[in-house]
Amino acid sequence: METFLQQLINGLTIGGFYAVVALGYTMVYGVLKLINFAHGDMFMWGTLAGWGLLTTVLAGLTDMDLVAILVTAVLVMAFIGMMGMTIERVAYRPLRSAGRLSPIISALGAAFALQSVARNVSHARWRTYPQGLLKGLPTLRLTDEVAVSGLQILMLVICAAIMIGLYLFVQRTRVGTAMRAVSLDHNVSRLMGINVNRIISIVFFIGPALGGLAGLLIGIYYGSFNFTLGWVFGLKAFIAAILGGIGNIPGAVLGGFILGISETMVVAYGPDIGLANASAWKDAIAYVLLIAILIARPTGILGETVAEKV
Amino acid sequence: MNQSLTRLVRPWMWQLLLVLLVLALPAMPFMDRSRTSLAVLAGIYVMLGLSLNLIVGYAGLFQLGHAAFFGLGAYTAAILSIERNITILATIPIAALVAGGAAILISKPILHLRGDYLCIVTIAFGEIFRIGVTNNAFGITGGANGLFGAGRPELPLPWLEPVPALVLALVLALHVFLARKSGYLLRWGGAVVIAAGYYLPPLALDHKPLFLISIVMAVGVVVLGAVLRDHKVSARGQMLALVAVVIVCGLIMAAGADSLVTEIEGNLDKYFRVEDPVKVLGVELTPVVFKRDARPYYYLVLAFILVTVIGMRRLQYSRLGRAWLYVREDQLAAEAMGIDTTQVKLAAFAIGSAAAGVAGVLYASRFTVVAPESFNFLQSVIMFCIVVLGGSGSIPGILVGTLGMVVLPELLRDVGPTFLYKGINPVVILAVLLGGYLYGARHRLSGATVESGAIAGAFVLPPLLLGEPALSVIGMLMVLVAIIAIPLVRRRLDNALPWVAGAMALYAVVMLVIGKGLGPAVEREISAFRIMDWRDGLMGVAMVVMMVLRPAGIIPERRRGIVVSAVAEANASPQAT
Repeated sequence: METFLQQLINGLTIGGFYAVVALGYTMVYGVLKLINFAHGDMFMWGTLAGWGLLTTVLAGLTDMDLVAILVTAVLVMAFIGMMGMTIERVAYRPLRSAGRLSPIISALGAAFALQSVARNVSHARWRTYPQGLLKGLPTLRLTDEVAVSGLQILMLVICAAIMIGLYLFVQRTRVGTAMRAVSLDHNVSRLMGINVNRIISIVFFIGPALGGLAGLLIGIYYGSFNFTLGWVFGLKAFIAAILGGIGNIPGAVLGGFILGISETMVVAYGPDIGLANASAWKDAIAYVLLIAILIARPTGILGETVAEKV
Repeated sequence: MNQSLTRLVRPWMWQLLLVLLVLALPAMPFMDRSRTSLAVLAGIYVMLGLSLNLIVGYAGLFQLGHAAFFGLGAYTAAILSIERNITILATIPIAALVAGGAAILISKPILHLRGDYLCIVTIAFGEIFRIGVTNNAFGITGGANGLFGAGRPELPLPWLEPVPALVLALVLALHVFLARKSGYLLRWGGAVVIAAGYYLPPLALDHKPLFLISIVMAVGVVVLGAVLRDHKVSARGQMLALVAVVIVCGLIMAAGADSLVTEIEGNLDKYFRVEDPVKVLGVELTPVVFKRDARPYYYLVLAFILVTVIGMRRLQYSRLGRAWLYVREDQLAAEAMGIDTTQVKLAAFAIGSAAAGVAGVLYASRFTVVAPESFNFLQSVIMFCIVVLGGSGSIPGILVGTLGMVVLPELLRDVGPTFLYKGINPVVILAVLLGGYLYGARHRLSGATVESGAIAGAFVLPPLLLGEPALSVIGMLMVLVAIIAIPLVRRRLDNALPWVAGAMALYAVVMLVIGKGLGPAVEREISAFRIMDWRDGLMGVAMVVMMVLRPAGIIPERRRGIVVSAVAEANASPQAT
């Protein structure tokens, strides 16, 4: 039972990251019906940019790590958000009326380009975040065996805040309403006086900015990363978005948590149920889960069955 | 003069030239060992592109996990060859069955998924396959290191100890079959005359290895005949052309018989290991096994591509092929017309995957090592790009796509930017001048000539004056920047000339001042620059640029019929569901 609780907490933390990255995928998919393959790499760029800032410019601020991290977070979010808007402008907007194959290639191309630059910037090595960031946070002991580190609590709180904030933003504000309108129908939205291009740009700012923030957080949480992080993690986050029903914000959150928890659980309990080296199979869990759920519910857990227009 | 020249050069001549070029490629002086090897690899990718084209191009389904079926074929061949000692080409049917069967099993439950869901599920299957073989899930895949020692192709040749009548009969049968099938040549009579034409010389000269040339010629003549027929050359024209070829080749054989035989036997030893003859059904067959050299593989792969292309074309225009087209353009309408969409899509997945399995066998036999990393997601993406970049649904597009995605990146491996300033620096200067002029002409600036001259001068003079050739690379980069940046400036300013000139002058002055110190540093940077590090990134940028410039691919498929193109246009609108 202790292991279970501990794994549940670990799973929730990972799931929170998946969920935040999945939000970016799901928002973009909502408005453009496009799998933004570059999103995972933008997320990785968040980790990379955070590492760059914390090890060079802000290295002197390690005494006040919260301040340093806050400044980094703001800069990273602005940078990655701009990156997202640029990519949309350059690689996706010209292809908006070009069928469904071309944007996928373009998105993959953007992902390759981002990954390649990151690889050369980091010299293809594993990079480590400064030691001792946020180590002062208290650890919460639930029982003797089960402990929640302050870092985990902070991550969970931030992820929850992002999700709730985004949900309220999309549901309550004018821009959020416009986003929902655009995701239903571009042309009609345009007739209603919505500047569709602007809304899409905003989506491409918010999604990557949140992804970049998640990247920074995951860098702090794990302490080290390399340039392939975005691809693997991004793909799994996308799967999380699909699990919950893509285009659906609560769905992405649900999918993220399901994925995070099942991964940690399989790795923890795999040896007990006969899967000897469960951690080697960790990456396959997401895919198996995806196939299982899509066979049962073709549009994801919370996805609505859309009748096709004739 | 020009007019009559264009009329003289018919389209079929270009096609013929292309065919000859492809056939003679390994003999070209620039084809060293590694490039021939690359050509073989490219051929395997063409096979993969063709097979994926069936799924993505014809049937319009997403498949981003194609590498898994390629891998299934390769692993099947390797396992059978290593464990059961089956000669590797004989595993082709089994590999095709395994890959196709797996495709049916896997895609059956997921075919009803809509586009993007299908896309992600195929990625999932591809990754599960890779993780599965890496972890040695079935205990026979060798784990992360893969399998070593798959066999090389083995061809049982009847010609070394020939039964001339039998071979002649086979060659004749081939001709007659094709004559009847496609109506080329003068049917029976023509086939007999031509086959005899190139078959008799070796017989008369009693030089058995020359039969090898005969066999090659038989295939060549059949291809030539098909090309001529496709371009509606008259029967008499076909006959004349073929007879001329046969006579010329016969004469060459007769004249150079001795040296040709030595040549053939020497080459045979170089490329093949000749094994002891075996008797099959009373015929003595001599198995020849491929050696490591890539040239025989080139022709083997070429033969497979030819067969695949013919198969694909026939499929495309068959009942099933038309059904794919309807499903791709409008699934609901297709269903309403009574097409069983699930079955039709399943067929596309199964046939395409089986063909990928065959490509996998070729891969295993070429490299003899089969490892999980050769079948990862990047490979699936490359295959997908080959199909879509070239123009999905179009067979020439696949060739172009392969050149762009496989051949070009490999050729770039040796190219460093140092060549820009070492040796051909004047060319760089010319290119810069020209770029500047083109830029001026394109944007119709006032005083474009003056400006382009000024730009070129500003970028070119400092490295020349300072004697620092490495700086010309910066000059070239600056031209690129100028071509992009100046129209933006111009849009805001009525007369850009003074501004541009000022900026140029400033640049030139700055370069002249700091250039002497900068030169060696730039040179160091450039020689440390390895294009392989940036290959993926360049490929990515190229993918984006290509798609933005030509969303339908480089050589798009010709759309058939008005109704179809109307539907395509409707689908292309952003609001299509």
